[in-house]
Amino acid sequence: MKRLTRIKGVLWALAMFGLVAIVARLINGLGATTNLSDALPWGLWKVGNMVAGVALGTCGFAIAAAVYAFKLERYQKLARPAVLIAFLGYGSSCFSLFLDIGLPWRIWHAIVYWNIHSFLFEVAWCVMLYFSITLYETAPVILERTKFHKLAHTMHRVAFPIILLGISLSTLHHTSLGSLFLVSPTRVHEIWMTMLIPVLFITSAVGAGLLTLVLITLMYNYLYDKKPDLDVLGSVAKAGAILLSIYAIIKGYDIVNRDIIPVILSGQWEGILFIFESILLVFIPVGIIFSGLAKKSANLMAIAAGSAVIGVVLNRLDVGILSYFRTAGAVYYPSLPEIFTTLGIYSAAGLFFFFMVENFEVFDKPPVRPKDAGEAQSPDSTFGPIRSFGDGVLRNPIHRYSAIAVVSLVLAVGLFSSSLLKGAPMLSEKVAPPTALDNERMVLVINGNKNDVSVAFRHDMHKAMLGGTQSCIRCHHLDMPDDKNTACWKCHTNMEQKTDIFKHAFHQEKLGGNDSCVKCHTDTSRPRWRDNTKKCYECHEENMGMLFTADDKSYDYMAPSYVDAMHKKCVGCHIEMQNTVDRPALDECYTCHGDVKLQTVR
Amino acid sequence: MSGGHTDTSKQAAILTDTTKCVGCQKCVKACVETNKTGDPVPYIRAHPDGLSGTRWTSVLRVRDEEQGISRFVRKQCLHCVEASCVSACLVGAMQKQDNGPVIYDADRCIGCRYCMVACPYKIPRSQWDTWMPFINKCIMCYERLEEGKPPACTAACPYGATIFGTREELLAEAKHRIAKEPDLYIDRVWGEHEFGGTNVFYVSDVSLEDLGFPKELNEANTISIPEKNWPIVSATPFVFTFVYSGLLLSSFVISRRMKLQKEREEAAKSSHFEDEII
Repeated sequence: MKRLTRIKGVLWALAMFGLVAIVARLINGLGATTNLSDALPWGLWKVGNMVAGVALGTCGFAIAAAVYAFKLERYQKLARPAVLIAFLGYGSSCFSLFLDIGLPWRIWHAIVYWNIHSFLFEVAWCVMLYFSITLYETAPVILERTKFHKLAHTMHRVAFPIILLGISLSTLHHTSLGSLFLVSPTRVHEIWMTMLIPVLFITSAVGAGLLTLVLITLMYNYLYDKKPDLDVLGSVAKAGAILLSIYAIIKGYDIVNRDIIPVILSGQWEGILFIFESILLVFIPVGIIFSGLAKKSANLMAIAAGSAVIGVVLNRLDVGILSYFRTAGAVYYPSLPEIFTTLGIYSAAGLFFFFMVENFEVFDKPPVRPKDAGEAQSPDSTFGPIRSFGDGVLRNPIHRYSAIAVVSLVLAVGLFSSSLLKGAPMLSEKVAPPTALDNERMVLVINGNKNDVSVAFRHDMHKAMLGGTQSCIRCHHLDMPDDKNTACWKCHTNMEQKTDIFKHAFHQEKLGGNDSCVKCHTDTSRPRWRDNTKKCYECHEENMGMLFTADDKSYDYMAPSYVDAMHKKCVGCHIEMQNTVDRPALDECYTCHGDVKLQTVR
Repeated sequence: MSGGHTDTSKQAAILTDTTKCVGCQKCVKACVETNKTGDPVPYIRAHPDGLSGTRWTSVLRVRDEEQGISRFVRKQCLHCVEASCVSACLVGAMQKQDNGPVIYDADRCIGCRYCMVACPYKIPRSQWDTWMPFINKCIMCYERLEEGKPPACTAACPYGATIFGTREELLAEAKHRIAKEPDLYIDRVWGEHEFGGTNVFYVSDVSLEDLGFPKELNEANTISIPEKNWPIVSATPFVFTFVYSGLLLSSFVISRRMKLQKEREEAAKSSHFEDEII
């Protein structure tokens, strides 16, 4: 029973890591905890947990259909485990969906606001209803062991139409989960993008779902030292293999029909991935099961089932995440919190599974508790844990798992603290050293805006204007973690402001002191205001006539803003001149400005 | 989607001419000020095209390697005639207004980001830097349209590179421009037919594939995505009825046959028994 203990310990640890990641996600939001982006907005939680998790839970409705609709009584004893697995698969999917949506407290909007054109609407309703049905089907397992056992009987008696409803709903949402990806026909890679995707999804999901049941039953028998009924399991596996073959036939037809064999064999990584996925999902399980080896050896059957399970998860990840990479021009890989959340949710589901099979009648009559559970209740149990620490194992399971949970919780908080618990990880940019030192003008040449355009930067002038030695941190921020130094544009944002460049004292001195007033303030009968004074361009015609015209009143005494000067006054000329001067791209900013990054210049 | 198409000719539309744009970003500034989108977020996951949760339009450069030139082009929501995001949103937060704009109802949104997956032009953006992320995209200043004003971006453009009008007018204008200078422009009004047509058009002398337009128009990409998927969506109730009634029927038939078989067996057994007695 040591292996069971170890597995549970690992599951507890993972669940606690997941818990910390989940709390961090709820506090700090998606941006801080996931690697999702505008280019690839769907990631591990939606595809890996929801789409794939639901696919693994199909055994519930498949076995229900066999037992209740088609009256195949020999599968009766698999009905309870199948329903439990479906319940856990759907429960974990719903929970991860709750975490994945940006505004989880609004999840009830899916019930209130309807959009019948949406595939996701269909999926949401069917998954919600079917999850309720699995809850309904699982509840008697618990209730029959309590004082509400009569209720369990009543529930069982009226279950037939509800079970059929569940089967029908499952058919719908497994097709719709495939159809989800039909909305982006230009973005999904062509190997996977087909109108047959709903059919492909349901056949592969039911096939792999039945093999999930086989795998979990075999694992149960292995962990609790029981002998598996290879005959019944073999039949289930065969049904799964038949469905996977149907999937393979439809996919094969699709490949030939759309003529994408050259794409698969072209050496693109998608093609290789597709071949790998097909081997795992179809060839290994179908080969092992149809060859008849599976019925003889539990190990081989487990290998076949495990391969199908990995294959179907990989298939969903391919369709939902990886096939978007090429068109998005970006790559997504899950962040640590995402991975730990996924593992944590599945671990919690696993622990719930162990709890159910040990305490209630799922596979066999309880108790099937492992021998060591609870037997270490020695009289001096207060000091038990401490004493037995020396042996390397805490004997009492409650103490043991509590200790594991607490230690992992602390470890998780420690592990995540730096990047995760503080909020959004901003791009960490160390202060770049100057790219050159211009000795002639005594300036540094720096890449101030982080756009690979180096500019001359007068460090001493900035230092003096910002407040001497106290002002270093205005720009440098002392290289703190997750910090970035201030780019030029953060302060120099007023690129669009007009500037008063008129220097009165300078003009006064140049024009001859106090005698010169009337040279500009020509109307001596009125106060010397700007609007009854000469305009700049009246004297500076050779410099400013081009820029300022008599009917353009907006620029009196004011220099145009940089942006206006460039785009209204300069560029027009540039466009005009580009045909006469031997400069074809004179109307392009980058001809003069290098590689200007438009987003940051503003 | 299922029914007839609405008359789009009088809908509000925008025409952007890449040969006239100088990249001054006045439209971006006007958009930011009018819609109060907020400060730019220099964020690790910012998309290179400049659109983000706080920038609903951006000016980017499209390079044409063949001709060796590049042009500025304004990226914004294209307000598809039959928008994929509108059909995708499960709570109906994305809505197509009768007068053209595709608007966003933040009160309904649950943040599932399916609109981002659904948009063929990759326009909707999520606010990744906050714990309460909404989706953001251009809404064609629909409140200004109701007041009878043009969208802020078109009003701000100093060169008339992006102009506002009805869909009919602007299509005619675009075709007029192309006909007038056929050597300059590529003979295609970008947005006329793509995915069922959009309410934002481009005329250009460089290819605009970078904006998400398909390279060549064919039957597959001129039909709108919701229309293409509607047969599958609308099949749902029929599939449900078919599966449910099929299951009921089969379980009824099977249990009846099992019962009959059992009776027959018992009858056979009893007759056999009688035989033995005799």
